[in-house]
Amino acid sequence: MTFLRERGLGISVVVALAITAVFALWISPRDIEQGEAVRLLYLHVPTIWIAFLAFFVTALSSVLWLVPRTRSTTWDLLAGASAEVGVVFTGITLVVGSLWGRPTWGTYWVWDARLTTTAILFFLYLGYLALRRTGSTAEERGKRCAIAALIAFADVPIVHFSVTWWQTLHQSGTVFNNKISVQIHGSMAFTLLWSVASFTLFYVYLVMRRLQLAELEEGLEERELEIAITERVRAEQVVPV
Amino acid sequence: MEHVWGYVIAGYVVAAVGLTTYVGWLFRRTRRLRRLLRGDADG
Repeated sequence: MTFLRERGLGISVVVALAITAVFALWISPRDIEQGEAVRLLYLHVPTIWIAFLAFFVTALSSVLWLVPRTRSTTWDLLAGASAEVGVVFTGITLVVGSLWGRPTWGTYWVWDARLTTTAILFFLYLGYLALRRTGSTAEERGKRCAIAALIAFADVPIVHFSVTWWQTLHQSGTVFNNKISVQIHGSMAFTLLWSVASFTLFYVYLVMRRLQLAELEEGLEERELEIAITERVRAEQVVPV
Repeated sequence: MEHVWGYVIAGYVVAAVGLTTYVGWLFRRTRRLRRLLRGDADG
């Protein structure tokens, strides 16, 4: 990706997010039930969508790394990059969700299935990121992390279906729910879709930047290893008499 | 109903600060590693 293209994407992300903020905070109307608190959903919904997308990309990249025919360092780095972005967005989802819960439910937090499984998701991927930092060969680390990513991903469908499988305070899906007749104001629907699209664009940009950084980190690691080997060879050449 | 705006603003501020901090760290570390790999700076 050239510098100009990268800059262009960055500027598009900033503009798209600014439009999201304007629609979410000013243009879209207040909800008949939730009042102004509905404005938090234009953040909450896209951030959890990005978290799911990020963890899906991590799982897919991990599978591609595990299959010998498609194995490449890029898949391992992409898995790590996407997981890190996913953790950031899951953290924001949890905080924004709590801030929405206080005026709507009267509490910041309840240990219901949706909230608890989302918190578990956050900690599972924090553990995954910690695992990526453990020292070993690239091959060993890649294998260990790919398996961990697939185990952690098992929580994503649990989070999604938790509202169907258990009685929860968190409501089930609304906008795309066929069982209920949904009526949503045009500008509310637009704001929601626009925010999901702009955050998706932001995710693409962040993963690209994080992947570049991961490649630089790999380069630095290799260079440090080369320096260490050269120094050792030099030290061995100076044989004591 | 006005107090609800407090929660709304807090949510947007948390998201903005969190994402800006992450992007800032990403940019700073990338720049630092590029310099290091070019050999412009010491460790």
